[in-house]
Amino acid sequence: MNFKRYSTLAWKECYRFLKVWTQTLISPVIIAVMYFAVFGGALGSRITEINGIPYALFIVPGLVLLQSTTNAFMNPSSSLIIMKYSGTLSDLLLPPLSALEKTLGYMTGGIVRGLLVSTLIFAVAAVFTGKIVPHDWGVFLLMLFLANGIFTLLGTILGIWAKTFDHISGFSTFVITPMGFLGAIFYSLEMLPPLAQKLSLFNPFFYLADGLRYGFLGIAEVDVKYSLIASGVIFLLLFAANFWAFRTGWRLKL
Amino acid sequence: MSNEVVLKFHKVQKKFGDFTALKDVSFEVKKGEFFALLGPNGAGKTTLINCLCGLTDRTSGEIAVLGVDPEKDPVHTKLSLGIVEQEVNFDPFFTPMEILRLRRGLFGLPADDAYLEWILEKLSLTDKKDVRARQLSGGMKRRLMIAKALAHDPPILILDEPTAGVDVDLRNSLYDFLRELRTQKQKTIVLTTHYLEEAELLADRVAIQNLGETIICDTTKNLLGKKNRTLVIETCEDEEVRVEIDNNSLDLESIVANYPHVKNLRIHEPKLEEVFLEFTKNPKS
Ligand SMILES: Nc1ncnc2c1ncn2[C@@H]1O[C@H](COP(=O)(O)OP(=O)(O)O)[C@@H](O)[C@H]1O
Ligand SMILES: [Mg+2]
Repeated sequence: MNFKRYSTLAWKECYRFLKVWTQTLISPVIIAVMYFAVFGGALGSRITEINGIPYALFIVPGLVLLQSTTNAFMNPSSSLIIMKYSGTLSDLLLPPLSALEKTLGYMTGGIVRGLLVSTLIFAVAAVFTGKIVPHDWGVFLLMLFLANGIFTLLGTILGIWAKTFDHISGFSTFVITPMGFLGAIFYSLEMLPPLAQKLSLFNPFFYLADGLRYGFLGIAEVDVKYSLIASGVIFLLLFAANFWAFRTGWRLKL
Repeated sequence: MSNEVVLKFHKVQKKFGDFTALKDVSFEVKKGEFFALLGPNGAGKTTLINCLCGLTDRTSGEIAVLGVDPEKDPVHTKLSLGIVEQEVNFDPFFTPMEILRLRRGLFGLPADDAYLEWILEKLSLTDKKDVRARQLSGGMKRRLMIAKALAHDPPILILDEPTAGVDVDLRNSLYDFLRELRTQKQKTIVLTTHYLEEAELLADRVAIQNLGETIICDTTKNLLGKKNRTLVIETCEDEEVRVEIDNNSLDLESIVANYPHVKNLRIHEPKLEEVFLEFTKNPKS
């Protein structure tokens, strides 16, 4: 592991989204503001509380996740697909980067972007709800890291696999967004019919949302242990998949 | 020029599915050489470079960079190679200076802006170093490709058809720069081309490759020597007779004795083109 090589790749992946910060940082904030205006303001007066928490506050962790994981996912996947389109994949393949350096470099770029978006949306949320300090800092930070890490690693694998931009936006639209919305971010599981409750337990996003909600608000539908374990296992599996892909040159080498 | 072998290819094969792009490529490049890999389109020149630099994996055979197999020790060999790809590509997000700085860092090397400025200066890109790469002209993008390959200051520079579609001025200044890199920076230079004049003009040694096979590899001088010179006899009847003559002994009198009405005599020097055509037409000769 060479630190200079890793940090250069990580910096390149951060610099890329920072250069277009209005798209990558401001637009998720604007979307979040609109959610708060509609769900917190308009609907919040009708759905007053879930588990003793004001509705506007209940949806904060889920909204943060929805926006930050989408951004974490897009960072490596769009970077890789742009390389394929512009023929600059060799910029990644010619330098002596090891599989670990590549995995960590892309992961860092996506996580930094995801965490910046998370921070901005928590700040917006604080304005709307007044809540600033999380219930459990440790769980809160770990869940944020795992959630953004998982989606960055997923975006990297997808970027390596994809041949066109449609493959990536398709995955984002047909898999991530529904998974997010059905991951109990706008409602409590109790509000669902029993079968839907069971199905939700197979949705990885549910554990990310539930774990983060525990870290931020101190309420959870399943024991936070399970959320941490499920997220940790998914993270490690995806990390291994990334490492393997870079190691073998899968879909990248000619 | 020393005798140290810096690049070695031995019976290299590359298959894409059923298609054999490289059948048997074998040649060596020595330290400090200006080497040309000559072959028509589709000969497998780019494929060979891709096998060398890790853009693809060879199917069989041996490759060594400074004695080391690039698949066994990619870090070491990648540091030794500067590759100028055939297809011009550029990252639309960054400026030339940023691209070069990133390139150095990705090779694990400390920043050295003075060196990068020198490259940009040499390639007449100084005044464009801070604009988005997509704003560069075609010729500038091509020069940026060379700058990128040099960013980590590799001892071996490999250029894949660097002058295809490049205008005469740029071509000549590129030739000068390559000669300078070689004489003043002691770089080994390998250039692939399908322009025979280019190989003839620049290279100390040439390997001719056709349909994935190395047909011959020799010094440019020897290759030219393989084709006999031709004596062109113009007769008073305005006929032109061509007689191949031995390069080593030339008995003019006995030849000319056969032609009573000679108006003019010329010796036609062999061109690499003719050697090339002869070898690519009939590989077994
Ligand atoms: N990825 C690939 N898949 C299949 N065939 C390929 C691939 N890359 C190159 N080829 C084929 O290999 C042959 C050699 O190509 P190339 O190395 O580009 O030749 P050159 O650079 O000498 O023009 C060509 O017939 C080409 O179509
Ligand atoms: Mg080629």
